Amino acid sequence: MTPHSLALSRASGYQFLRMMIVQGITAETWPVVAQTGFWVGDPPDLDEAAAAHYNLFGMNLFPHAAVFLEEGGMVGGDAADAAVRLLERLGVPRTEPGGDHLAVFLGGLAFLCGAEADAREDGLEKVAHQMRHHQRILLNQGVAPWIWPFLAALSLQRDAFYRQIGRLTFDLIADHLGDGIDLPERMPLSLAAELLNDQATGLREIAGFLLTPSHSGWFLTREMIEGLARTIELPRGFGSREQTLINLLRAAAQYDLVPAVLDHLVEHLQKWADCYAGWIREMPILAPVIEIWERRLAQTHFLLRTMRPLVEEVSRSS
Amino acid sequence: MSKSSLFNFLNTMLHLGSAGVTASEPPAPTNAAGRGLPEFAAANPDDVKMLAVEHPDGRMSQYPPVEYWDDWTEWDGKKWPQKVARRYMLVPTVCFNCESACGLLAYVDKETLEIKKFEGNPVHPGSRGRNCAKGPATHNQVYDPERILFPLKRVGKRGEGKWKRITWEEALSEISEKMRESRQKRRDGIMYHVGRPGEDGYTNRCISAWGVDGHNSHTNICSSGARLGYYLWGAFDRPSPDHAHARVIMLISSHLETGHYFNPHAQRIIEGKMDGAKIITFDPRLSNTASMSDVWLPTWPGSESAVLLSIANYLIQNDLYDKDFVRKWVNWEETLEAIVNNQLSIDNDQLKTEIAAALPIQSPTPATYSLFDRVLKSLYSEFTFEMAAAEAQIPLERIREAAEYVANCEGRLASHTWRSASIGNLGGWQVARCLYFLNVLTGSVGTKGGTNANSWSKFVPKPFKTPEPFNAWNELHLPDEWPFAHYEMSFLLPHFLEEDRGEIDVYFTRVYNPMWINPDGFMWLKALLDEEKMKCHVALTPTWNESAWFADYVLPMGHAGERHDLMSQETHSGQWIAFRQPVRRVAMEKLGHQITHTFEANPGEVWEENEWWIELSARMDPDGSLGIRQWFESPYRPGEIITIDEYYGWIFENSVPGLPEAAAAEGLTPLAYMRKYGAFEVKRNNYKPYEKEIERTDHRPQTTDIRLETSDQRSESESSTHHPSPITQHPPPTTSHRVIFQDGKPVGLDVDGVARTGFGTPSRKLEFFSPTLHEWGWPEKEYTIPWPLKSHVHQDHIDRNRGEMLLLPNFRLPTLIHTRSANAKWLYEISHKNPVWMHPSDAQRLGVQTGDLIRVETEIGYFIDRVWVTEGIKPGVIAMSHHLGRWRLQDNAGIGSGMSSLVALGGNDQGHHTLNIIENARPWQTFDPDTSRVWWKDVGVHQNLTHAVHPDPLSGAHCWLQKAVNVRKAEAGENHGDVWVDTNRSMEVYRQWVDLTRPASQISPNGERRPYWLKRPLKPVREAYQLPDEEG
Repeated sequence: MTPHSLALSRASGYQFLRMMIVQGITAETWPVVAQTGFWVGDPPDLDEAAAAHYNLFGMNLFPHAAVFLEEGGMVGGDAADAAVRLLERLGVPRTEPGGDHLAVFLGGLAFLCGAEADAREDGLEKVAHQMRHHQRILLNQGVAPWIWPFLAALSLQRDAFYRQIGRLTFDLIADHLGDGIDLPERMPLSLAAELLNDQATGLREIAGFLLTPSHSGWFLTREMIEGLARTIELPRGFGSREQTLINLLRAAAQYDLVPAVLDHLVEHLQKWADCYAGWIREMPILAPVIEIWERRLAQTHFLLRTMRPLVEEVSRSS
Repeated sequence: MSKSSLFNFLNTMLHLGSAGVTASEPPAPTNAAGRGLPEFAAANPDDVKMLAVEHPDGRMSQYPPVEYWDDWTEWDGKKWPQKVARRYMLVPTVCFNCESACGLLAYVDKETLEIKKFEGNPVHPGSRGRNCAKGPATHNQVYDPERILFPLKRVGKRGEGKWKRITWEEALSEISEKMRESRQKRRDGIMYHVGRPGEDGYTNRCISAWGVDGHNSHTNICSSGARLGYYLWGAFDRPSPDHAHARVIMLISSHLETGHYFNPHAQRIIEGKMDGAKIITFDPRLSNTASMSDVWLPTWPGSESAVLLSIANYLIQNDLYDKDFVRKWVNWEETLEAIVNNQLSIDNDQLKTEIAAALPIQSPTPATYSLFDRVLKSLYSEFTFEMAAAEAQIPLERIREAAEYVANCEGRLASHTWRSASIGNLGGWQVARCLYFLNVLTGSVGTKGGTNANSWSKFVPKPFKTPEPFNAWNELHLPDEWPFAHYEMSFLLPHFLEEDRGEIDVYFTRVYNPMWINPDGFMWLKALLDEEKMKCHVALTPTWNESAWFADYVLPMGHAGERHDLMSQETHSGQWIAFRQPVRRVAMEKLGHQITHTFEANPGEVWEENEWWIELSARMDPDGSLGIRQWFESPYRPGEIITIDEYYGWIFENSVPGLPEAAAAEGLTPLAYMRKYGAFEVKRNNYKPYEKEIERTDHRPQTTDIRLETSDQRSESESSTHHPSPITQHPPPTTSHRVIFQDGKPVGLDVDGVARTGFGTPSRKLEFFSPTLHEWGWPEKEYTIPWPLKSHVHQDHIDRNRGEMLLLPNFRLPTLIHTRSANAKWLYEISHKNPVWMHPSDAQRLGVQTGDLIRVETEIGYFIDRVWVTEGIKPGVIAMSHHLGRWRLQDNAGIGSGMSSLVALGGNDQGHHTLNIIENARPWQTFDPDTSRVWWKDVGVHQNLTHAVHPDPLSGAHCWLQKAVNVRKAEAGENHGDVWVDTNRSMEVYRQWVDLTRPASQISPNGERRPYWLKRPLKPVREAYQLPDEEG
């Protein structure tokens, strides 16, 4: 592939992924999806496809940088503002109003790759180089700091189509980062030991840690919590992720099933660890950015592992 | 994925290029043209901040403060988790999905002028910023893909389903010409049949101006039973409980959940409960209200009065009632006179002798009052808890518990009945009377925490000019048989037409779907198809409905945010008015657009009745020769037709106390003030107005019968022309001298030497004994005083061993409206089917389980529906919500496919009719993607078709409860939704009930059609009350 065709294909590839993240399969996008060969079997029922898309990105896995970077694990805040500033600095038009949505970054990359291709076609090498530089900044500063737990969560979804989309996103970004990866800014690590040693720590704090990717290194979706509750046959009630996880932990305590919950969480954690390790094996260049999330995941593992004997002791003494 | 996979992907992308993956185009044109989903503009988010507002009572909320309403920016919730700011103008309006008149705040996009959402109006005194599900769902109705956007005229035969679009000018011209022709011939040829009035007086003024007896309502299938019961007590026809301050709240209905004033009452009931009030609910069904109650009394339908009187008896026998209140405010002296005059019998001759000796009572004392106390003890002694428990089939202890709560209410008993038992049973009007008896006995009348009259808690301002009463009597509205009918006998219109009692030139249905909502719907179908008797049918409706399908003109009128109306309701002890507004028009005008008619700002050409009636009336009388045009001329521009701004501007300037001052304080005109706030509180805490002292003038007319004279002189419309009528001779009551007159009209009474306002009854007191009923042919005790009347579904009439059951067909769901829910997708997603509730013991007896089909046979036919087995219903009773079972006759036309079943109507010339479902609800394609996401199929069964009419012989109310003559599991070939009816049987049952009446021509004491002091929505002149002579 020539630099021009690579830039052009990346532009289209990012645009396609953007559409999948924003819209999923619709009457409008289906012809493109069909040509990619990612969909196997009969054409999809578009209503079902819309529902699946909404369920995934509207109810379970939120494709926003702030969710994975912010202390509270919520949308908005400094991470979102930083994303907006970054895009403005790079002169990237915002295709969606929310500055830190993955689609914005993918759209931005599509725009920059398109601009690079245009420049190459017009023989403007300097401009092409500049666009390439902007792509690297956007990838390293906008995407690389947070995309891994999002993609790992996507890889653990039931929906095969979106698992493929996730994998494709990983490949495209990882390949693109191969052009040059920057060491990430220092990202503070939350120590599980401190949390456990704090007398004020209760179920809510434990749940908060587990549900905040910037602490735990993973992202527990609503469906994952539901699945855990079903497996152990415990009620988890209704409400936010935090509420349902607290309900689940409380019910587990009531029925002496906290060790079982912890075991299942450790088992689940292993999938994340395998995913991160596999990516590093595939693309060693990604190690500096993915290891950040591995370290967080290790804190979670420490938390769960330390809690188990404590809980058993409490259970025996009561 | 390998390197080669990525390479392949990039190659594919390269091949597709940008053409294959272009971002989506903006959506199609928006609903400014009425044909698409709304679009909203993104705003600069810099100003976004949600302001927390602290209320005087300490509550915090995040309503936008009024000072920001003209320019409000907030995040778009639907865009979450993205942060997208929108900029709105917030325009207040009033919900139109029930009669509570709750405040809404429309968020109108300042750039696209689309409505983003409806939320609560925090400055509305009734709803206080809160709404039930029906308020926000107004948005669904505005952007409903199936709504009617343009005036339509029938093409082909009625009901054929072929329509053509016409202009408003054509509609106005053609219909006004028909009305003019009718008015020139007669004064009973135009009929305005209203479902939801949604306003106070505007349309009635128009009808009066036309000079016809044209008002017909839905009230006799709704509330007229309760209304008559209340009216006989105190000349007010609705209760207004002060729930928030009550110690005891007694509800005969599922009020907290679904009652008439659901939202404003529910929030105050909860406040009362949080403050320690006890809730007592009578309901054979475990409603949400019942589940939240301290005492749930699942009474057998029709036994409510017996239970209420057992509580009354407990208070009376144990001297636990407020004797001082009763002595001052109840017509006990008239009652004693009635006993002496043998108008009211008691089983105590000694007491009767003592009463005779004490009369006439010149000056009431505790000693003379004690005679009445003994009368009460004698009259009600039979109503023991044991008797009530047996009658109602409920535990005695529950009744005792309720009685003890009532006894300890300290004058704070908030009670309410509206539909339920009062509209369910033969004699249901006595349920309201017995319930209010508890208010009277506990002195909880107009007290803080007690129960007001509606008129004390509602304010209806007068317009600039009021037309004179008309001189006409439409026998199709109030025929001879029902002199006490509290509203028009509307549901019998097809039966009257069948009997050739009359015909209609122009029939307006307004937010009304008579064929679907009334009992005996096939009789309505017959009437609607009869072009000889119903010559022109104009349906004024924002949405398609079953009856509109059989109209000649279908004229789209606006929803809550698309019209002007002025409303007030008795939500609590206080008075307020609320102004419904076309919110887009208001926003557009504020932004400098010139709007002449509201349809210019509404979707499509949807109009509003206010402007429609003005234009129609003016065209009906272009030269003023019919005397109609004058009432539609501007008070500001003589000779010119009034505008809507002038109409309401005049009212706000001249008829609402305190409003001009409040407006001036803000530098606004009163109209601008109302446009800004949407509501105004006229009076707060209006307790015990009957105690108000008045100036004594004692200008008493010299007649032989004060009662009839006072009856004659009291009029809702306060006609200026008074025409005395023949008066029968009765002994002069001894109490009449206490009534105080002014300018010949009774204005108050003497209470312990003080002149006070009193009540609107002839005696100016609360009438325990009703002389009016006695005089007008209903002299028996069970009518003249609060007393149970044996219901047509009394347990003696239901033989369960023969498979008979009681069908309770009229409970409400809190999220639905009768007809217009089908255009609110959110509401229909919540509730869309109406299975038959059945107790497990009955299910076991019939061998059915939840989901099985059963066949319910009524007096005139049967229907097939699924059963829901639940302990939430009393054994022997089956129940169905009456909101559901909507249907359409053509696919892709009429009511939306997701909210109605496609059906076939059939029948033969023997009077047999059928309705069969061809296809259940299903998703359908429109510009709104939600219509393709309809996941439900069962949208209910139209049970009303199989109900025989049951006109109460007194109140005229349709007694909804049905005797299910047979209930069994459906057999092969019987399908969900099947309906079969024999209209010959309909007429037979109708005549059986007519036979229970006592026609005015036989019992009128003064040659008039009905007691003059009773309410009529529009009162004609007194001459019109005269019964026709033999020549007619």
